[in-house]
Amino acid sequence: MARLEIDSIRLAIGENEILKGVSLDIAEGECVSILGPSGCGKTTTLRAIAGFTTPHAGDIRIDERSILELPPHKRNLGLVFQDYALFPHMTVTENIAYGLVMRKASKVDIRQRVDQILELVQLSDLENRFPSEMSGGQRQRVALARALVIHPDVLLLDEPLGALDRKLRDQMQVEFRRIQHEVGITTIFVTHDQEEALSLSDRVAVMLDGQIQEIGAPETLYQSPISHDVMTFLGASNVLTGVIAYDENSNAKVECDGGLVLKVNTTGLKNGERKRLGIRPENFTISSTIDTQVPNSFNGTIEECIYKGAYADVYVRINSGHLINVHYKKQHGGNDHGIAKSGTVVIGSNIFISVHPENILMFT
Amino acid sequence: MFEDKSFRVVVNIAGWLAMVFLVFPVILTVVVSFNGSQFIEFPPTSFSLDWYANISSIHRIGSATLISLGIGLMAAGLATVFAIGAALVLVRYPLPAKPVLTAFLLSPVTLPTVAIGIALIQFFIMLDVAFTWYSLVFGHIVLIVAYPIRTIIASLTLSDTSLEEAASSLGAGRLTVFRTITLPQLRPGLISGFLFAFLISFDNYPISIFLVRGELTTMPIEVFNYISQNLDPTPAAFSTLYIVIVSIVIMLAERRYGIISLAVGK
Amino acid sequence: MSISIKRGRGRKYLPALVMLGPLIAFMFIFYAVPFGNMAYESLHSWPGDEKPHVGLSVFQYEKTTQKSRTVKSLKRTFRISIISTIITFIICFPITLLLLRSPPRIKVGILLVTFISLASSLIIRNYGWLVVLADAGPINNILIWLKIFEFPKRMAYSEGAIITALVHYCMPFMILPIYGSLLRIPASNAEASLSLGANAWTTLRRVILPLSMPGIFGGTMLSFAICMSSYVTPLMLGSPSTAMVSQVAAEQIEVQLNFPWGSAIIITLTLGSFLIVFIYAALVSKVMRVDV
Repeated sequence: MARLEIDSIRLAIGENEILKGVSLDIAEGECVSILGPSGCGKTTTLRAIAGFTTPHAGDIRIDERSILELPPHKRNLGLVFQDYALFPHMTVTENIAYGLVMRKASKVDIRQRVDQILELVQLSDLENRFPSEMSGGQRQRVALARALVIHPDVLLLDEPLGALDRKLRDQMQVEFRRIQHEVGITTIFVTHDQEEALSLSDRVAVMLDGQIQEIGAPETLYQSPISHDVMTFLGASNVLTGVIAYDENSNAKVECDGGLVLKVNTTGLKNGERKRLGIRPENFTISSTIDTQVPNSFNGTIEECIYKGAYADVYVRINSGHLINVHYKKQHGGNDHGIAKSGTVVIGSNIFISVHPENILMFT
Repeated sequence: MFEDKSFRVVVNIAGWLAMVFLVFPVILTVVVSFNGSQFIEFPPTSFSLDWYANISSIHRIGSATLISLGIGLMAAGLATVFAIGAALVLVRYPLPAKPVLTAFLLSPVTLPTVAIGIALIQFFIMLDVAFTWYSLVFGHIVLIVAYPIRTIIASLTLSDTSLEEAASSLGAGRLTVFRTITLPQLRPGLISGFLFAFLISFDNYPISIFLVRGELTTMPIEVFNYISQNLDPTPAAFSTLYIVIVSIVIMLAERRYGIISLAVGK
Repeated sequence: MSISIKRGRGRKYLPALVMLGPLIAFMFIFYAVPFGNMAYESLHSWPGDEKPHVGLSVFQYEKTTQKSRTVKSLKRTFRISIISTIITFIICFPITLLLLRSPPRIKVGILLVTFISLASSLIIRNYGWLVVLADAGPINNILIWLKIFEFPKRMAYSEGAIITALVHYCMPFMILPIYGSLLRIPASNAEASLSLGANAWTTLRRVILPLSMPGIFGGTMLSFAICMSSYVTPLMLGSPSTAMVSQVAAEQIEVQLNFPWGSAIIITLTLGSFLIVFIYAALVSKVMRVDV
């Protein structure tokens, strides 16, 4: 258990700068994920921590001590690879014992620790299998056990659930959270899967184009991102552009093209400033009649509806000409807002959508 | 991959020394071929092109090289044609006892080459066709057919059957699919298979030595005879020419068809 | 397709037979039959034998295992093959590791050199060694310059010269399969080993070496088979006292016209070499748990 500091590391391959000053501070026992699209540098960051690539500038420290000068095999980190990298010529036990053998642990000690960790990942009955004789989920657990058994200072995971199918991935998410809590180890994992990052980590660091854009608790990051890029990267969003204006009661509003005017709650805005607005689809409400009590209520026509299971993605062309993405959930008790007949949304129907001012996010 | 200093140093030194060992005799042959001395000597003492002029004094070298070329082209061509059908069946079609058939067809490579020569000469004498050019071609096909089979199988395994399915779904008949889709995908395998089959036939001594007599002779046999009877560096001049030509052919084949990646896998 | 299946089993195999048939027929006539014929011949007696016999017997094989010339050449062939194969492996493995960690341009360069030497004539490559090992050649001159010898020493025409040339000839056959199998090991396997605390050497020994076993087996087997059946190399770089089995057999056929004994000798060599390869394969698959 240790504290990991990544201090503005830079790395370039030829002319191509892959890491443009990445800094990240991870507290003891914390689980942080680096989330980003492929090619953003997240895997390179992980490989730099592990020692497979060396940054040109910056420092990486564990408990205040720089590890940059150490070769990979002396860093005492637990790595779980995307393809698991289990040794195909060794059994489960031999795979897990490998790191302990390298640390010259006694036979008795090795046996005891392997048994203990096998129990933790619930694989005790498969100890003599070869990796080729196991399912993807089982291999993943062996990889995790192999990384954990050496009591690493930090656990590093590269797209840990990426190779599993959806259902197994959901199971492993729960399992992984349980093991992580039980062991309480400082953990950092990289992923391109938002759901994985949001559900598994204490904090999420969104990485775009070689830089950490924003870091925060999953909910904060999703509900109120500071940067526009993070907002559009995380989940779906409607993005509008407009100019700030104040009415006679000095209430702030944004005037967009096509005569669309939105009331906003944010303070400290300059009159006439141009801003980008972001609104999450699930923050809109749909109804068949206009409610004058509700601010930011607009009339429009349903152009498209895509059924997604738990909700439907409805695209509404409002009178200003904007196409707005709205999530629609069928309510219990028959209240279907008058837009659906026998559970299906009717394309072409005229409806009203509204959004609360505090759900409108503002970016430069 | 292995960032470890002692490891890197050892691998670099040992690896490059081994490469020096691999090219050393070739470089030396080239140097000696330009030396004026009557005997093989190193370091060289004077420059001369005499040995290149002297190549023609190797007994029947012209006709022998032509015969080797002809035999090689015929044997490699026939072997490659045979191999296309065979490889297609072995990879794509259902057939009982496939492993046995594959092992049978590839086995000549693992046998002592002299054994093939000894078996064939007795057989050809029995049939009364010994020492004919076509018996020599047949003998060479037996030896070399495994090479195109291997390379074409490698190409087929890499090729994508969905391309053929796409073509036939677009209305191409079986033969058209084969001609327009399958064959172009097999090209690297065909080329490298043919090339190696030809080079092995062209260079063969242990089979040819049993199957030739009199006017029917091949390049390796005549060069071998010259080397065993003369001490002058004429063979060095011949070798230099041979290596230059082979290098050009291999480099062209690599540039156009990527034969190296086919041989070692991606 | 569905129609041909309905018409019965024979039809299903028809295209396969049309495409594969000619080659099978050819190989049967010009490969299987001649070998069968040779085996049959080896069971006969030769007019020049001490006690010629009528009918079939294993006399020629008994002779092969009793005559000192054949027994010596069998032992020598086996010894030279084992030594050459081991040396080839030791020399080539660093080259494959070098290939693995080299930038693309150097990689292609090394592979091109390997391919060119694979494609160069065996006779020409052996001639190269005659040049290197010549009395006035570089090795002798360097050793004289270093004052190790006073006069040039005869280095060609010896067992050492044969082994040197065989190692050189086998190198491409060793490099290509091993490099091929190294390429198939995911880089993450070596990285996993390093991250678990193993240094590069331990990683090589415990992960890379076992996982490249299929290629190592392929390369060593091929080298061994090539050495066992070598004929031109001992002819060019050896002397009558270093004759290998193929030479002895060829001598019987070409000089003595003793077809039965020559056949028996070469069949003994073939079977012996197959047996060794078979035992080797069994050992490798058992000990290393690798499918070969």
